[in-house]
Amino acid sequence: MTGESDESRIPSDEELTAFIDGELEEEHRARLLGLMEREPAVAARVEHLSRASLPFGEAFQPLLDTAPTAELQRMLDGMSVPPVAANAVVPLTRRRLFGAIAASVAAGVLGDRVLVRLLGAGDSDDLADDDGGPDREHHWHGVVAQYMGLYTRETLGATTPGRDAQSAQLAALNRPLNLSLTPEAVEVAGAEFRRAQILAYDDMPLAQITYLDPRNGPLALCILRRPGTVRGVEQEMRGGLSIAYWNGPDHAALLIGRLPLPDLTAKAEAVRQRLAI
Amino acid sequence: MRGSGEIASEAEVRHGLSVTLPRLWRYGFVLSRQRDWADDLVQQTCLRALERHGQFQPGSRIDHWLFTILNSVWLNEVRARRVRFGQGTVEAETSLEVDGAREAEAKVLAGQVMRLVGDLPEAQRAAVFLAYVEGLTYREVAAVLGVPVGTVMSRLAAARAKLADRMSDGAAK
Repeated sequence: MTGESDESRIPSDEELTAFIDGELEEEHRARLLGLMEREPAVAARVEHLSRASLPFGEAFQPLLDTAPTAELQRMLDGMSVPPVAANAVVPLTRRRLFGAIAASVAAGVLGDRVLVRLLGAGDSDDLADDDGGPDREHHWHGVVAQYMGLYTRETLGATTPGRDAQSAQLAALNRPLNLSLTPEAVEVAGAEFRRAQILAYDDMPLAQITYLDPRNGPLALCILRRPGTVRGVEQEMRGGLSIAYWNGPDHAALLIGRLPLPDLTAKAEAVRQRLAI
Repeated sequence: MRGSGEIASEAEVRHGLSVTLPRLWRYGFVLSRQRDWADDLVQQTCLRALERHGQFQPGSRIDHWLFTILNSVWLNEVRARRVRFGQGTVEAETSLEVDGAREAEAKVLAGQVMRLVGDLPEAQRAAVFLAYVEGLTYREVAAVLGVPVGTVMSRLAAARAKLADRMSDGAAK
């Protein structure tokens, strides 16, 4: 909160809300109390905002009783998570929520759907190992690294889509990102194509193509539309993952995975030479 | 096998899920405003939590961790749909309302409060639910939603102003 030295200003609704919610430091709180005594307008605003102090807890209590708890418990009891080495795809018994997506991209979308927004967060504690500085240009690397940190072999499923399906998935990326990806161009040596899909980073479409490297686990090639200076492959580590990244005139790209940095960089260099971004 | 500050076991996370199921479902319902979506969100949350049980830090609040996962599953779906279809989030037609809540006089106020909250924009609705229904601190809400504390404050203040206006408008009723 800023401007605290200005005694005469009218506090913001944010400040008054925090006051009502008991979230202010004692000193700040005392100052607002003083201000309320002197300024009827401030007191009136607090009174008005306090009308929204409704019995929320009681109001939402009945919802708990309507939760299908027994059914959910049965679902949970029947849910087994395969050990890391297994190659089973976790079954999804209900697809309503994701039906629209499944219909729009025929293959392979259902296995994976987490956390892009969360990871785009500005100051979450979870981003502690992000660069922490004003490195906006590479901020998305940290976001992608956290996202990829969640991937297991199971996340990617066991099968490689055929060439036609790969082309169809890539076509869905090409339009929004103004790319011309082909299955050949995005091949990664030693890894099998699993899925191409659009994620979102700061409301911008982010192309993500995932692969399974039988030895090292999931890999992803990610492309963001970001005009800038053309740069060759550089490398870094984030969150225990290796990243090799480069820039074309219109896009930034990176390859990420849990394998030794030199190995990943060599794969990235091969992709960079094939890929027009 | 459990040492100090060690990794959570799957059984521990499973137990945490089990005791939090109704609250997870409720949060899923508040976000999605549809019962079957809430079911799906809880199912996905269970799956993610079990898959990632090693990421839970024993000793921290497992319910908050699970809210974070559910929130993420929800947000990613919303965003993915927006990207895929090039349009805004499709808001559910139904307002937030419990089956049968209308029937009992005693539940009138509860229904009214839920409707008021249900009419808030999604981001404000989530913040209000977590802070005022679940009783999380601003900081905890920020962690669940993955946004700065200042953003939580803005959302709650905007929600409060809106709810207060609605209460004032409807006071005579």
